[in-house]
Amino acid sequence: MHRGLTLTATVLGWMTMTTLAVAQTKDPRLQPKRLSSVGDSITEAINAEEYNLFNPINPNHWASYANGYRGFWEWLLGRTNVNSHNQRITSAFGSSNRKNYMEGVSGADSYDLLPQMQQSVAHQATYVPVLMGHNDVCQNDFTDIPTDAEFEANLRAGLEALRTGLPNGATIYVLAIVDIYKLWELGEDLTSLGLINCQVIWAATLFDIYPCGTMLSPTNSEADRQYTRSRNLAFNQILEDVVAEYEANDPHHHYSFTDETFLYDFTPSQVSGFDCFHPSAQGQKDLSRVTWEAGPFGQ
Amino acid sequence: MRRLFALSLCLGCTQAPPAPVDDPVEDPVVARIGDAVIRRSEAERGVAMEIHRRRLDIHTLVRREVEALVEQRLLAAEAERRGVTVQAMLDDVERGEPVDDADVDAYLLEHGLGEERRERARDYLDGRRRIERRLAFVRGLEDAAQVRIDLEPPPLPRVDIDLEGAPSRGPADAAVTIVHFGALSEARSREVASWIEAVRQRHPKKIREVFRHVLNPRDELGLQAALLARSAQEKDRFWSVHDRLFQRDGALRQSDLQTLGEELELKPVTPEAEARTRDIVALKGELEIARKSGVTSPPGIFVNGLWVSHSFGRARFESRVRDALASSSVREPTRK
Repeated sequence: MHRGLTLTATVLGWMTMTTLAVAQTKDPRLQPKRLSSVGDSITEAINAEEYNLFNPINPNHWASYANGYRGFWEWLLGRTNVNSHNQRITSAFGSSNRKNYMEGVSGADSYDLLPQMQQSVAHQATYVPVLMGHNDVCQNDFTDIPTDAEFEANLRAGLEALRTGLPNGATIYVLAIVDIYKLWELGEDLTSLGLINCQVIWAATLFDIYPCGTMLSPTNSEADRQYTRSRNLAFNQILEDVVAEYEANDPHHHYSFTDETFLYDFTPSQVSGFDCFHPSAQGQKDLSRVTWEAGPFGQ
Repeated sequence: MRRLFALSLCLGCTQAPPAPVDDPVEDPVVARIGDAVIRRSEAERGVAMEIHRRRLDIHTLVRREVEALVEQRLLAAEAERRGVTVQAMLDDVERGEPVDDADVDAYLLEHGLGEERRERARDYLDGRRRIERRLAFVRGLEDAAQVRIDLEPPPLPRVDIDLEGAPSRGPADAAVTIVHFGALSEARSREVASWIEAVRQRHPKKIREVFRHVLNPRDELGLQAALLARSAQEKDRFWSVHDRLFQRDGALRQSDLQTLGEELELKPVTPEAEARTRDIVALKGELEIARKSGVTSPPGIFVNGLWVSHSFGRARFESRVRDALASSSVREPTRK
């Protein structure tokens, strides 16, 4: 799935020429009624509150911080109401002409930004929340983690697709990669407290299905995990810088970045009781709250 | 209302919650009904797992903060002693010889990686070495300062599960009550049922088994099985359904339920919409009990009100049962 670097001279030229041209004026912001989320297993809310033994990649779309909703089964089982961006949009802007697309797919990484964002363009989204990069830092081997240049090129390729294809006035909201070191730490806590045996679960499922040896491998030293965290931080810096650049240079679209997702202090009740790693529905609920409040429609 | 707490208390389990005492500070009265009172502890027992989760959250937040404060203070004191800023000190600590080609060669060889990974491997090894120096430095400061963190996580609570109307078998005054929150369609619940059956066989006079329904999402067959079992319960045949469904081979099929329903002369498995809605609403109440007890999906196990995770395996479950049996035998003389 990995493709080569796609940073082109055309893009660089556009950036240079428009930097001064974009004054303070922007096209009016469109209502975020056509939501199209870009991301990975966290956007899909894998194992947030429901788990299927025979399908360990168990999307809980109803619990997604971005696309979550509430239907019959969620009512029957008394599931957590995550009050997702989707639900908040309906509350704030009404239900007419609403669309709720999830382009995010478990296992996706920065190389999937372009195809997912092309889907957002195909859906003519007016609001694109982006939470991607966990599978860039979560790898089998430390040398599988992309370089800064590769990560940045993948991000730029995706944002270019949005810049040239989304309706004028659309909003792109990029969220920092979650601090996966904190999620690992919580798994350790849950095991030692006797609530759930996370090491057994990681060994049985995660290593085969969501490879994240760079954080979860029992052979890792503390320095190994801290190294992975340093890549987490470096990629977030790239996200912030590139988003700021697009916001400054594109007069037709609105770009925001927040690091609330990275800073968020996850606690035991906010990590999945099934895989000890993905955010639980309660974690998704808080992700929705903090990102919405910090975002362009939260004021 | 029949509650597990009441049962475990009257049987004298060693870890049973203390009886309410007249303590307006530790256990205040939170409601009055005429002359009767409700104390805080009584209300908390019903949602003990939810409260426990929140206490764990608080414990985690505080522990992280304590660890961060300890590190900040140690670094600040050491930087002051050296007459430099913390950042300058850490930069100096992390500085050192970069990894050499031999280190990179060894890593590539060990991990079966090709030459194209050489630079990434070097970046990783360099980064890790810098971090190792910093970690060793901080550890040294902690040792020198004899750092000790006195924070204990909250203990696992004993949950007061609402057992009103739940099917049970075994002596009503058994020393140990095992509550199984399960789905009759589910493999892990079937496994738990077999664990419980084994300990019941070993201690027939000392163990009581109680079943509560909990479902996996979109498990239509599980839902139908639960409704069938509730219908069987009305005819005092719940355990026939339970045992037949858990002793079957392979995945549950619609025809299994149909056959079982006919054999036991129960309600149709797929009743009319109105009856189904009524039964679902009743089942919803039972699922709420699971949620309130801290169980959101099958299986959930409680031994005398103490949570046992299926993920720790059969040995942990049996150990918890042995502990409960031992506690009850220790307490028996005092009961008499």
